[in-house]
Amino acid sequence: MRYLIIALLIFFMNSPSDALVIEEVRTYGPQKDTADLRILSSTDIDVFDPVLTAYITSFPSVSIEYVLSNTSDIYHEVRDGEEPFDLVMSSAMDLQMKLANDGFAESVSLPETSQGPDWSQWQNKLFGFSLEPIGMVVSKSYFNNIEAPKSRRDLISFLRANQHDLRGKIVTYDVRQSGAGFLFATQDARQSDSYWRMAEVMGSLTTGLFCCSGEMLDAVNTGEVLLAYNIIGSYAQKRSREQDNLLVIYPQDYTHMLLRTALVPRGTQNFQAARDFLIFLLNDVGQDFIEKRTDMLSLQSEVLNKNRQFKPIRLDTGLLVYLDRLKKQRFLEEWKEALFQ
Amino acid sequence: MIRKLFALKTTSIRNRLLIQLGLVAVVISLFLFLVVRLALVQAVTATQDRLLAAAVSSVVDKIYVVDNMVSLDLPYDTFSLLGAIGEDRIFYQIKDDGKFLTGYEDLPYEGPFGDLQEPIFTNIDYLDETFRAASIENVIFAGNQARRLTIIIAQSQNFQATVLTKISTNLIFVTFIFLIIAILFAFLTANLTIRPIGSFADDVKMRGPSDLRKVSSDVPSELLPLVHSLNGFISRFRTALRQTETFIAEAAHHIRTPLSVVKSESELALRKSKTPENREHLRNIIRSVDQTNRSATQLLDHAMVLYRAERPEKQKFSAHQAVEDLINQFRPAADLRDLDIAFSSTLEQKQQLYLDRTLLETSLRNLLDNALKYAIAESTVFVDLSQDKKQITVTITNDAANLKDFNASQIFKKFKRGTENKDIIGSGLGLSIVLEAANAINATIKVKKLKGESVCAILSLPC
Repeated sequence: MRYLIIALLIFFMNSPSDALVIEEVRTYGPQKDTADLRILSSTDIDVFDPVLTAYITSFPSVSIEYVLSNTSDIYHEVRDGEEPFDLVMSSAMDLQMKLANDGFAESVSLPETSQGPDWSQWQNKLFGFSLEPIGMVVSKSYFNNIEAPKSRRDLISFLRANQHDLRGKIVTYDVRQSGAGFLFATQDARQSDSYWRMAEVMGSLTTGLFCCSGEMLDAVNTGEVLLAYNIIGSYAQKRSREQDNLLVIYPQDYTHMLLRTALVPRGTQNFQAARDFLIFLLNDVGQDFIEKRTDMLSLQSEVLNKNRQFKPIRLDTGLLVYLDRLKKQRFLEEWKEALFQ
Repeated sequence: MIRKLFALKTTSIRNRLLIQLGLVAVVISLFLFLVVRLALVQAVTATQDRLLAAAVSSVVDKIYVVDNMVSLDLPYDTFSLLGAIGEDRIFYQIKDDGKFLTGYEDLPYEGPFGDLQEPIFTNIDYLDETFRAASIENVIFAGNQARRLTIIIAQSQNFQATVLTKISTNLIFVTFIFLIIAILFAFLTANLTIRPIGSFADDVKMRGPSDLRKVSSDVPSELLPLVHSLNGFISRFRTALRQTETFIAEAAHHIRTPLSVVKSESELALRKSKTPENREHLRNIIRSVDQTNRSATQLLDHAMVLYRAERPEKQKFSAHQAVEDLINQFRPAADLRDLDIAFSSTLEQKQQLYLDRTLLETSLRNLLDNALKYAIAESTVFVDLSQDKKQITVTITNDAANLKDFNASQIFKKFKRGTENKDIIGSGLGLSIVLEAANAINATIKVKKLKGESVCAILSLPC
């Protein structure tokens, strides 16, 4: 299994990164040759579908084409691609920040009613629209009788204490391949020195590295894997309703919250449609809808106030730092040394 | 526009002052605003520069060498902080001996470079925006080789704009308040400056028509030439007036002697004359001579009153005595027309007046003369002397012969006479002399018609 994964990784790493790999496309509203609003997004269609459906219900004349891709492709598409998209939504806050900083986003002035909290926006170019806590998912059946770790310190002790059981049974993102995984890992490293200790321990347990959270959750559900680290909460919660072997744990030392962000790319063909959609997404109606009808949290979510350990990742120019060539190279080297022993 | 404004207002010193002061206030306010704003821009730029310098030095701290390779561990918090205030965009570039190492390769800056203590700060135009950049070069040793590293960090100027906008709003408010206060002071100054002119004008305006004294009000030195020339004018005017009066008096005096000769000659001729036509002619001549003589006397009287009005010779005397003496002078004339003069007085004998007696007598004489002249034959003229707290009043009442066109507003005008009085000799100067004399002694004179055919003249004298 491990070799297969590594082989897969090598295959993916060599694949050309400048072509947009489209994972799925879905259209909403009336059929048109070119949709009024073309959204390029990294959010699973199933998660975001209720929002799009609600929008179409409110504005039946608008046609939407929702194109799903991964964060890295999205980033390169916006920088160098030729396909015109009107709205770009991604969970990779750092890449989105770099796009906005480097001038690939249009300025959008939104009405007062669609202004999120200060921390959720950068200039008037990058708009956070939902929050998702990042946690770990464990196999419910395995932790039936054992107390699951509640913090990273607990986790490290647990991993050390149960090396025999857990060898090859831990998975996390392959940060070389997943933009989101890279973001979570770098934020971990920034937040706490214990990250590298944990990475070492994970490496000693030959932790499996995956590109995508879906596969990791499947593996946990089947019992093939016992613990998946740094999983986006919304996916996990949604899956845990259908796959009953999943238990989502939010560490109590700190739980980072991912801010999904949207920007209007410079080459937009339909600025007004993009702005209208942003207004809907960010006003009370849209935010309320996100909170109640999707697995994501709204920007004003009560969860933030109730759980002090929930920390939204700061949407600022600090995010650019780990994208620096040398910094990234150094981080990946450290990471590799920790994970491949 | 400005010229029009000036043209419109230049007739008023106050408005001219106001406009000039106002313009000065506006210019000063504008200047103040610009100077403070400039200082502000410098302060904010200096702050941004310090921030960039700190960022550069924290980046330098994170440069390290591994296997003769220069590497860099970009500090997260530095970048986070740089963008914290104004959500500024950040670009950076690091070159190793001129070879691009990391950051943004196309950042258009080639030097010069400062050092850690004194980075060079410049504005760079990049991607449609102006960035403030700090650049330094730093030498590090990799192996045995000295390597020249150049580091540029550029930050957009939202932070500046944010701070400037915030403070400028307050600054505009403060400048506006300053302007308002300055303009208020301009109003105050203009009014204060103009006030002496106003009071000087009032001083001249308040004067009576015959007040030809010199103007002596306190005026600012700038107005002294005006006052001097005004006084010069007044004195020339007074001289000319006096010359005219003297001339008239002289003329009247010189005319009276030949008139007496003409009159006596004419009376002689009348006695000798045989034909009724000649007698009629001579009577006419005598009447005209009488009339002319009287006019000349009145003109002399008038000149005298005007002369004394300027230099009243005040003296103390008994009011009762003065009036009684005057009445006694008129009794023979009254007897000629079978008139009686009844004098009543509620005044004490001792009650004294302090004023120019000649002027009082002139006015009373003219009043009595008129009262007798126009009274019905065999009637009584009443003269009453009374006193209240403020004044002594002389009331002269007669039964008038002819009141058809009595007009109280016309009777004090010079040379105005009632149309029905042509038979009675008179010049039309009598009552105007009374008025002038009364004014000169601060008395008031009223003539009014009473019930029936009576007319009364009331002369009120200040105690």
